Amino acid sequence: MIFTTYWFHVFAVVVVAAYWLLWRQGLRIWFLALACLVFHYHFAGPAGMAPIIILMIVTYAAGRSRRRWACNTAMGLCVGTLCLYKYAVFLIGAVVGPLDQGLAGHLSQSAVSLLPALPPLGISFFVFEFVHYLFEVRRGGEPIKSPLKFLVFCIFFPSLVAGPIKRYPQFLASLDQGSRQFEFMNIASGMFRIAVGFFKKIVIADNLNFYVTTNFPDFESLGLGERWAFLAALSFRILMDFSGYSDIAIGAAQLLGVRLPENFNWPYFAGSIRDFWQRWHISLSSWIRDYVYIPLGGNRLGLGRRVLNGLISFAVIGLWHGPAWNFVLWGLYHGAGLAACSTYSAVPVAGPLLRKVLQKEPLIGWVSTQLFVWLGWLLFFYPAPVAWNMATLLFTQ
Amino acid sequence: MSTPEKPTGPARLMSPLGFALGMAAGLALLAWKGREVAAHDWHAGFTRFHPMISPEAMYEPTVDEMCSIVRARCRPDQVLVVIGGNSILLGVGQPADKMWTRQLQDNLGDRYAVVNLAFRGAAPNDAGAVVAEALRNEFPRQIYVANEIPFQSGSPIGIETYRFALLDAYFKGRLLPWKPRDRAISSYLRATDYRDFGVMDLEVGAKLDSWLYFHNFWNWISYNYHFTFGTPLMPHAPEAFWPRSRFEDKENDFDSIPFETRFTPQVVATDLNIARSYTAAFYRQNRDKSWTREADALDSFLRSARAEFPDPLKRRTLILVGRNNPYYTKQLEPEIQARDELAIADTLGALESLGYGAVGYGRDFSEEDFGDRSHLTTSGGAKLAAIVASKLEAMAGELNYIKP
Repeated sequence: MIFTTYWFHVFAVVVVAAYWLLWRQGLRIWFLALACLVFHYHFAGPAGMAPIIILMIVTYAAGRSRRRWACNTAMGLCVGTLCLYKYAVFLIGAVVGPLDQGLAGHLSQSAVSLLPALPPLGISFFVFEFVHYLFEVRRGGEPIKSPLKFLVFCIFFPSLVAGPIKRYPQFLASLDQGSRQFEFMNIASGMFRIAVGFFKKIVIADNLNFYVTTNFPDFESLGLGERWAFLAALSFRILMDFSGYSDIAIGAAQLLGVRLPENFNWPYFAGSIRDFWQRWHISLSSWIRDYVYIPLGGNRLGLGRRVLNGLISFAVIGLWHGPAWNFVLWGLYHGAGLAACSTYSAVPVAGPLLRKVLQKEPLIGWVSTQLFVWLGWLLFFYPAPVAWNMATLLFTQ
Repeated sequence: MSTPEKPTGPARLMSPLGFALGMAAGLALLAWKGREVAAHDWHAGFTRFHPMISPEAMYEPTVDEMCSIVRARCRPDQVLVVIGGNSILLGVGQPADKMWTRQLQDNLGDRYAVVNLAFRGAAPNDAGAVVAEALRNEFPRQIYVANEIPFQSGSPIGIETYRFALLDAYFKGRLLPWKPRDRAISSYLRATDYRDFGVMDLEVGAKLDSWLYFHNFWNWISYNYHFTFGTPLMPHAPEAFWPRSRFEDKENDFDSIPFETRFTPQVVATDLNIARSYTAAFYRQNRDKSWTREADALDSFLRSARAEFPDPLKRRTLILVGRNNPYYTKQLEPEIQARDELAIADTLGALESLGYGAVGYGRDFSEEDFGDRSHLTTSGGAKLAAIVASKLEAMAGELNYIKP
């Protein structure tokens, strides 16, 4: 985790101090761009930086041209690059595998030998932000003219590794306003946010992680209460880990006067699946809504297409987390949950009745939502058969 | 940021300058505390680094902390004997009250102070060696003791697990300049895989710690007040969060474990293979069943053993070279036993030619002196202590530490 490195702390202190000691806003932006490049180079290395820089140049040029075909081509290139680096082996197995196992094996081997062991650092975040930019410019948004500001938008170091996924109009407005003059409260509240993030990550998430890792091999022999405690630990671990990371990113940006979008809003208080996805990894779910679900037709093409579009969108959300079937299944699981959540009231008799009950007793909605979400984490973290077995054990002595 | 948040609560009373000064003062206070706490020994009743105060339980003692352990146990008028090396010298298999180093202390008497800073799996030049070197001016009359197996010496920077101590001392300027080690450290820190953030960060962390002393501070908290996370050796709450001072030294006592439990058929088969190949890589057999050393075996060993310790420290370094449990060696063919003896003699000779003190042990040890293939029981520890005491006294005389 980059934020827990000593290097990050030293870097952040030096950069924030120097940034605010500079006497002109223009100089601050130049300095920030340079600092972001140093940060990216330090953690990604030249090989990890090169593909991102190329995509960045292509995205900038396509955006400046404002031509539809250029934006589409650039989006294709970005998504293709992401698929190549992160999903090539998975996609070969998924698409070619069922047709010809031998060919799939051969292609997978070639891909493994050609590609680096790990994809370039933060490539998913980069690609999602590039696609967002190109999409918005394609539909008439104002492209970023200044290459410097475009660079800062792309590799803004606090959000480089784990988001939140930024939107360029809000980011640039915030950068323009926030970098104008030093505001003490930004520093104070940014540091407080960072401290909260580290507490969540190091004190809570890392200990829960240890608990989960230690108890997982013995899950079957645990008592029923302990199995549920395990599930709770698993669920809070991912929340604390990820939201802690987001807090640090948001806090670090705040030190530079920039407001990043919120990523979490007490998701375990959600009373429905829809509510959950408005509170969990908000920057990703809103990105998927705007650039996958709505372009697919959203809820405009009838109930069947609405459900299908939702399932596709959630499969993409799942796949975004990594090239593995359990992530896809987790996404589809949530897609199905959301479909059920948004259509149940149309079921004759039972639908309206259930709706009334849930309105009268919100606790039922909350419990069932959290049960659904928490059980879903088993699918997220473990292969489907293991997850199924664990879920079964939660309901048997 | 469009509109900065309006301060609320106590923040309304905070001025930017006050905040900055408060931050700086807080950091300075913590750094001072980190420095101050390690000036005193907090390991009351220390005998050795048992697992709960060792890296296997995520406790990495700092060099300052270990130096304080030494200072609290060695008077300026005593010859300091620091025991380093691996689990054999740590005394695994011997309970704390019957450790071989206690026997060694008794054998040497009050003119010497023996401090056991060995760790499981450590190389000869790991933690204990670093501490002894860091204390070379404070305790100029010192002898460092470690162990090796025939023809094998480690890297100039030891093994990864204990490198925290080396880097701690290195970046605090506590070590002698020694080119092989300096080059190895530099190459280790620069050989960057861009995703290995841990290694990338070691240098920055160690340099920061040399100013802020946060490792001392957290170890002090962890040992005396509260540990902050579960570890494989203590996974469950509330014990996982107990201060490490609450854990006693509970090493196994080989003498209380039946022979059949220690020497199961599977263990015997594995260890017999290890014993058979103990020195096999370094010699080839002649037609008359005698042995000729492999061409590069000695040169290679001399090269690495030369680089292992700085030249000025070699004379005060005693390397012990051990034999296997006779339970195994007796099962080997006579010519293999002869090869092992030859290898031990060659290794001792090579070490002495480089200026180290060197002594072998285990020749007249019985099966009861070993708890397994290489670790010693209490009786074996006593025999080792006798051998080491006699060698240490000789070295102390040669080094003019003690007048005969």
